[in-house]
Amino acid sequence: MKEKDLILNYPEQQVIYYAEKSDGTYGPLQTGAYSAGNHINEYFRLTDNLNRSLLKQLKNGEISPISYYMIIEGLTIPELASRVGVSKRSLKKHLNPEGFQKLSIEKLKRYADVLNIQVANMFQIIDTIEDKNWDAGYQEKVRSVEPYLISQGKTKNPLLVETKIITNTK
Amino acid sequence: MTQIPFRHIMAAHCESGTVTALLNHQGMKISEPMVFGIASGIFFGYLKTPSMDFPTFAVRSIPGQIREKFAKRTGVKFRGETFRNPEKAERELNKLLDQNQPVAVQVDFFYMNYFPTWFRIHVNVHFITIIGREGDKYYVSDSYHPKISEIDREALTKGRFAGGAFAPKGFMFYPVYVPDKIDMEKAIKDGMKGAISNMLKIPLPFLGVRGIRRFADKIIDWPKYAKDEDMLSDKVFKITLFLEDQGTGGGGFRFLYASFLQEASKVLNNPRLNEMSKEMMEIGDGWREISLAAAQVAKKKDFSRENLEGIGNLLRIRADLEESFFTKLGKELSNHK
Repeated sequence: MKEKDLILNYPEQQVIYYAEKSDGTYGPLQTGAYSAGNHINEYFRLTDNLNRSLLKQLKNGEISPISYYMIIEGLTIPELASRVGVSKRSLKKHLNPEGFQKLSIEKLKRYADVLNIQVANMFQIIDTIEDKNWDAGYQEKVRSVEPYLISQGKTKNPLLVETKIITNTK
Repeated sequence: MTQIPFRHIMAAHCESGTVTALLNHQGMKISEPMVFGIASGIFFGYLKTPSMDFPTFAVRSIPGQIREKFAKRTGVKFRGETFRNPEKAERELNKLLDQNQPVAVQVDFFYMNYFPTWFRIHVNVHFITIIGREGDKYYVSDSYHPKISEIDREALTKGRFAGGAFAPKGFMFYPVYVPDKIDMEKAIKDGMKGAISNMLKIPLPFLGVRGIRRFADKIIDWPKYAKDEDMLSDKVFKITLFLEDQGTGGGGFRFLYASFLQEASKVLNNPRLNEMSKEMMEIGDGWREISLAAAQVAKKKDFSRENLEGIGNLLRIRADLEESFFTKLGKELSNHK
């Protein structure tokens, strides 16, 4: 494909395509990613829909937080079970609120580590879903939820998270 | 210590990009297409096992093979090591960095927090190069990122020791020997033979050109695996993503392979390979057509049999063209003395 046909202005995600240059030689071209550059809004719409539907189920007590995060992060049951070091059968139990309540703290922490969330976020939702930059429970990064900043920082206590809500003065 | 002077370049693919950048750092002049081509990176596989919720496909060889096959065919030696113990893995990495040795590590892409969250997925076969450290942070040259990035120790360890399929197990590698003279002609020809074998000779119905045909036949079944329209839309859209933007160089690695053939024609002094590189570029254009068709179907959410068969038909044309292309490449190799 010719270079001019691949160029896309999308600084948020840059990729390398190999393209035909004007002199007929082939070589790398750094440009915006085709999928994200053309369809990112569709992607955000799909993930928003999924997020809303799962949050509703979570709030209604139909699924456990583990089920919520597993689906949001695109993990399958065998994949998550293998990463956490539990059997698929046990994992299936933990996807239901009843099974989730029987989990030990030690196992819960293992799940939280793999899912890259704070243990505390297994028991709370910081609901800023209107903000595209928000990701349920993802830790540490300061998230901008105009006019506030939300920061979840770790402490030396592995089970304790410090959540700060700060007025955005910028 | 801080950063080791290292020429950071973006690359089409993380594994070929990492190998290329490390070899360039070592003083070997080689391009990413040449690494990819010599290692027979081009491939196709359509995968659906009973344990998989949804079918998927691959357009490149098994992770790790680019490094291994390139090394075998050129005589370059890499030292590679996996670890059971994360502390030991970190110590070994630090030791090498302190000796000014950039080191490639295998990670789960999800934990690479220098990328935006929406972009990160759990995939255990991402390769990055660590080029320095300072306190609890590491400097990273990632082929998919425009700049040198930073990652904290904890995230790097999580990425290196994620479990699941293709678990990295702390794997790290770096070049330890580059021969003074490499028989590039032989390496290129071996690479082409490997590609022909990948695409035409594996006697399994879901790999190579047969795999493209299986994909063409099976795509009409995709709606039955999806629990709703949004899920199906996401999966069909992933066809576009896998072919274009997940480290392929565009057109499902076919543009990258065309570049390899063009470069190979010069090394082998064979103008017919240059002509074939143009054919491969056109084959890649056809894969992009599939990407466009899949994105349109996903966006409109019109998963009628007719629309899915439309994508299937485009795939069949690719299969026919690639079968003919690699057969011709085989003949070209037999004729080339």
